[in-house]
Amino acid sequence: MARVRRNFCHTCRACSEDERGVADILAIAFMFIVLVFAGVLLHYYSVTPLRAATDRQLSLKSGHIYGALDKAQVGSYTLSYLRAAAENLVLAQPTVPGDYLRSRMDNTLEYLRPLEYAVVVSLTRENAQPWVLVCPSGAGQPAAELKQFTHRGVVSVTKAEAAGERVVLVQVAVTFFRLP
Amino acid sequence: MITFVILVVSAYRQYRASSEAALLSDVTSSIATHLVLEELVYVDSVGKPSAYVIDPVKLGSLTKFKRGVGGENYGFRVSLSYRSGMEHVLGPYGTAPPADRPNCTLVVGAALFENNRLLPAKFEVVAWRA
Repeated sequence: MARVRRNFCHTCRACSEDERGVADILAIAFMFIVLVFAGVLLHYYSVTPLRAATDRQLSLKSGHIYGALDKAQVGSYTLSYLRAAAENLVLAQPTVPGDYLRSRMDNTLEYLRPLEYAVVVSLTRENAQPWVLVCPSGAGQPAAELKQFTHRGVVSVTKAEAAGERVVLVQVAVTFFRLP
Repeated sequence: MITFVILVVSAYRQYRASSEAALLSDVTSSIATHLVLEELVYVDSVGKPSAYVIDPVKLGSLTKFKRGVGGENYGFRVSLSYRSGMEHVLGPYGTAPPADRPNCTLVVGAALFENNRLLPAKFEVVAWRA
C-alpha cells in the first residue's frame, strides 16, 4: 500500500513541487538567520579594540585622580587631600577638620571627574570604620555588575601614643565608575 | 553570498577604523603620561621630582609638540586648567589639530605648583597623527 502511495507521489507533479518549495524556503530562512547572527557578531567584535582602549583611558584617569588627591593640598593647609583624610581616620584631632575636608574634596572631585562618571574615595584601616566620600553624593556605591576602575595605594600616618609614636598604614582606593 | 561578502567587508572596515581610534587613544594616553610623570614634573629645591605635579614654567617652555610612537609621528597640543578662586587656563600650547584628521582628547587629573601651593588641576592633551 505504501509503495503504491510513494509511486503515486512521484508521479504527482504538483505534490513534488510543493515539497521542493518548502525545503527551499527553509534553507533560505536558515541562511538569513545565520547571516543576521554573523553580522551582529562581526560588528560587535569589530569595536572591541576601541572598547578596550576606552577602558585603559578610564583606568589611567583613576590613577591620575589618585595622584592629584595625593599631591594637591587642602585649601590653605599644607596637607594633601589623602593625607588629611587618613589623619581624619586615624587621629582624634586631625589637622584638617572633617567637615571642611569633605566639602573641599567634594568640590575638587566635582572639578576633576568627567561628567558621566562618579568617583568614590575610600580609606580603610584595621578595626575602624572606613572613611568614604562619594562624588556626586547621590551616586552611592557602585553596583557589582558595573565596570569599575580602581587605583589603590597606602598612606602612612604617625600617631602619638603613651608608649611612643606609632606609624599607622591606611589603605586608600579611588574608584571610578559610569553613572547609571 | 554577495550579502555575506558585503557584510564581512563592512565589518573589516569598521574593525580597521576602530583599531585606528584605539591606537590614537593609546598614543594620547602615552603622551599625557610621559608629560605628567616625566617631562613637566616639578622638581623641588633638593632635586626630588614629584610625580603628578606639573611645573608651570616647564609647561610654558615646552617647544617640541611632536612625538614618534610605533614608527608614526603624532602632533599634540596641551593645556592646563585649575581653580584658584576662579577658573584659570594655561595654554593651549602647540598648534591646533588639523580639521581633516581625527584627533583624540584626553583630560587627566594632576596637581599644579603655583605660588608655593599645590593646586588640583586638569591637564588636557589633544593628539593626532602628523
